[in-house]
Amino acid sequence: MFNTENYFYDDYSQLDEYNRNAIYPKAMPYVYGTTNPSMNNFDNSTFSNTFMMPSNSNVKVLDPYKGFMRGNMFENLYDPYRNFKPNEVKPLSERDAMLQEVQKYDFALNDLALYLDIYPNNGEILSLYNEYLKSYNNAVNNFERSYGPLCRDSVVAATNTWNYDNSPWPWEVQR
Amino acid sequence: MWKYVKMTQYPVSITKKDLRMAKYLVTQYGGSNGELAAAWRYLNQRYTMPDEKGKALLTDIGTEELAHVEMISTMVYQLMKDATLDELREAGLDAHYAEHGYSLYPTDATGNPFTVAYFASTGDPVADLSENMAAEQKARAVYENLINLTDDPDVIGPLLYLRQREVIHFNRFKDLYDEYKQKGYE
Repeated sequence: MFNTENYFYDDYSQLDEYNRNAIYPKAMPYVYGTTNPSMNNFDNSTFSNTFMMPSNSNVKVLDPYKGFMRGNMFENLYDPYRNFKPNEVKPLSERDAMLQEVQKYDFALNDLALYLDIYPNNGEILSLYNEYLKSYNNAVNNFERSYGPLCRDSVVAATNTWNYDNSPWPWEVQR
Repeated sequence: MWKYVKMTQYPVSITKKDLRMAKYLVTQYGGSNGELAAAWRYLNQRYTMPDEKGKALLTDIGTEELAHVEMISTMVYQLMKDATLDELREAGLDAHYAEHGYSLYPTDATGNPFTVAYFASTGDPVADLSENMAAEQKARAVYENLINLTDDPDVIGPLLYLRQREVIHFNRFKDLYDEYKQKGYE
């Protein structure tokens, strides 16, 4: 839809796959470059997995989807209210599914960043941050190629027509 | 500086009009324990934090609170959308309508406008961080009250998410508070 051929982000998928398998074998699989991320057909058995930090860290970090639904990436800090279970937000359209991929990784990055602000020397959390940053960039790229820029200065905003206001505002979205 | 990203931090899509809930919920926009007070509290305190950790944490949490302002605003807007004048009158939102129409305005649940008197900024990092810990706990409690006032899952979902963010922020402020106390900052 948008002419972005000269502006594509690097394809990180191969490096990502390597990092996941080498360092975080329990990571939930994510297929890069797909236009229909499988947000809502995850397997419940993987849903309960947490990353086990391999060395001296006692911090358990959840996979991004579970963390995003809970609003909390850290197993040891999770504090549910009464008997409420976190929502499992079902994407109601392909656009919504792709946007939720962006939101999911944005959330994971934000929560890990708050941790790293205080514990900047935790290399394991930093590795995860770097991994999710690549996933985030991929998710943004996938979304914007189909649905236009999320930011005024996104690479896909550089076209012959002003496309920033082509998509609905967040409060108008009818999922 | 700040940049706008054209999405909410967490999905919000409310299709069921509920004016009473809109009237309660707006307090997390413009009330004493709301997200606007939180954002300005942290973004004012950050300049006098004694090290990189404090400046980074208050900048990042203050920024996240701005995203929460947008989530709450979106929820209030969607809950009030397409209300008739009779419905507004019945829910006690006719006074809001008189001054603001269907637009947003930061007030608490009883209509008092937002004021910066809701938060402090003392220049003392230990005092500021302990205020922030209390503020996060009070916001958590208000989210629980709000969850108890509705049975719409499209409202409860984002409220549970926002409540959990208060839990995380409290813990991060506490971590930094403990470190500063140990280092003797005051």
